[in-house]
Amino acid sequence: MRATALPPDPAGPTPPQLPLGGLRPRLVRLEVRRLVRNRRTLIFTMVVPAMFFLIFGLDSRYALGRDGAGNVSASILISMALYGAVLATTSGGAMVSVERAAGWSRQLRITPLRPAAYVATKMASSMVLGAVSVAVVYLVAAATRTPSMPAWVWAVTAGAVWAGSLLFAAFGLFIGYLFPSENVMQVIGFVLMLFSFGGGLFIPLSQFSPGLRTLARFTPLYGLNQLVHYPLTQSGFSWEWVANLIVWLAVFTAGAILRLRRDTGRV
Amino acid sequence: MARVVVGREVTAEELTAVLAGRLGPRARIAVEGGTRSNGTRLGVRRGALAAAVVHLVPAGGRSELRIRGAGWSLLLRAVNELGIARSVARILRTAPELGSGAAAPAGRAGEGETRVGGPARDGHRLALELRGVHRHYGSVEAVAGIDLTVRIGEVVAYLGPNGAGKTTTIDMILGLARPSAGSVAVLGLDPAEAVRRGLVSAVMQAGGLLKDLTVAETVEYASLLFPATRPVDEVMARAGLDGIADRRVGRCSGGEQQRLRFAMALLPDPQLLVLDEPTQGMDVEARREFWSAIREDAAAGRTILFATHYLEEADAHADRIVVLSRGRIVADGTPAEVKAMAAGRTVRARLKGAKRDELAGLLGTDVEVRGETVIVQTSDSDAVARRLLNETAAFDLEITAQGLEDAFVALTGGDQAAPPATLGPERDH
Repeated sequence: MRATALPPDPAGPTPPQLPLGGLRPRLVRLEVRRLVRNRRTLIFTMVVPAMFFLIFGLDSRYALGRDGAGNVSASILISMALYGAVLATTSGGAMVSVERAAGWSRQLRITPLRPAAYVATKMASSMVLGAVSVAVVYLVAAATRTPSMPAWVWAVTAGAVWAGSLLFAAFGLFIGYLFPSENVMQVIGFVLMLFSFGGGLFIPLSQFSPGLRTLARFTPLYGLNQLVHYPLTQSGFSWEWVANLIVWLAVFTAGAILRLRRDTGRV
Repeated sequence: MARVVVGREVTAEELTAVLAGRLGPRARIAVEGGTRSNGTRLGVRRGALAAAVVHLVPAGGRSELRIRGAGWSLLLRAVNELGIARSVARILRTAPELGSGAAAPAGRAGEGETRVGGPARDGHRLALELRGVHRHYGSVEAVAGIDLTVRIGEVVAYLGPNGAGKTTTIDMILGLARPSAGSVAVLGLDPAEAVRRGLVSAVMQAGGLLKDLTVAETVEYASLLFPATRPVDEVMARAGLDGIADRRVGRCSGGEQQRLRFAMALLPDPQLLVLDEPTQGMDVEARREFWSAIREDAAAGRTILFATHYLEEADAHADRIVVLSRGRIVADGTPAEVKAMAAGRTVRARLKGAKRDELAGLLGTDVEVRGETVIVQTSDSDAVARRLLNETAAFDLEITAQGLEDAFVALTGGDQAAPPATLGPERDH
């Protein structure tokens, strides 16, 4: 018979604590592995945005057409990278929906993991996926030698796209806590498509009718899309973009926190 | 582990007799080897699960007892309360888990209803303490007033049919639900705090797994959720997962998934392990394997509470059975006691003009009259039969024994208003 030492005394002075409430790099790594294992997620966040660039971004007129410090092809590259990054971070956040359906969230509640650390883990893994998505689109685009912009604009826009996609990690969490079904990914694909049109990622807003153009300025990707293109266009900066970004960030974050509270407080 | 010095020499035979007297007929005590010079080792087992080792060392006119294993506190009590108790000189030194129970400041900081399991005379702490616990869901009363104490080292079956309130109770023990009234203390702490410290873990009935991770990754994931855990490899081996480490969880059978949940629950090395219908939906072989893993764990000293609706399972694996019906505890005792209580017989006879009220006075309260048929549930069928035949005009008499399942139904399907039956000797809480 094995003589196991009895577990530590519960009334002991200082129970060991999880560092950062449980946000650990190895946890993020496991979460990324799960994301990468989902073939549909991979196709939609890596292959589709790169393909879109290859289809829409290589027209010879775009290589010649100037856009601020670069050409039109570069502008389309930034749009497609943003589309991919946003899909990636939203998908990552929305995984909580599947986890809730599987009873995983309930399982987590009987561990010392803090809800905030769990959300942070989700955000971090989403951002890793987002970074890979941005990198893939930029590398594919660079390999075609068609987009042209100064080196620092390549770097700054890639970074801005990636950082800005954090907004949509919050959006994904919000949606994930809102809808309890595995079909949440389909909902997201459709909604993000609408947002992308609204933000002018696929068709320049100048081609919209005036009414639609006004409406588009209030959609969540509008401000972010304008901001990430600014290093390239370097013209027409508007605080309206920043306001759009901040308001939507507040809406998504508050929504996610509210739903998370309701979820974890359900006793 | 506890170390006790007795102020005279105690022989192995005397100690065996004392322990046997205290622990009852279910106890098995055997000398496990060791020489006279460095003492005698007694292996003590009671029921299927609890086990301990007593090392008896002569120390120059005195004897030293070293007690370790699941039942150490019980044995300490045995040593204390019987025979040689008079000559127990003093408890020389005790391991932290024994000493601090008595020494720990009661009422740690926290919510008002956090309670510290009152240390008994021997410094014993409670694994679980439920007092007057109610839980409503809307107008439904899932748990309707439960008082339950589980001592450290006990293996308790929480037996009841579906909908009796088992899972609701477990949710409250795990801090997943809060009682509508009453208090729940796990190892003297608020349940959420006990969970946060990794002192309690659970094997849930279903769900709680991610299909896209492998078995090994799932255990690794779970291991990252606690500040300190047993090694992942060790836990996997104990739960019998070595052969399927790289299998995706989605491809595992129900039994394999349950062993995986068990492995996850073992990680924090909890003092209290809660299992909610752990073998639900498993085939016979998987069930056997699962219980052998649990039994091994229990033998190593863990307090276990498992919910089940199989009486056989409760009988085979628990030291104590708590029977729940419609949100109330209707029986609480050793498996033998509960079975004896439930394993009555049914006496059936025909009697013209039978009236329940008149018969109840004669035959006890468990009388049912259906037309001309009188049905009596009883543990003394001879006496009932004699009375029916001698004192009434009953005829066509028939006595049938109840199977275990009938017995269980009899226990749990009883009159809701009936007070909970008390079984066996009064438990000291």
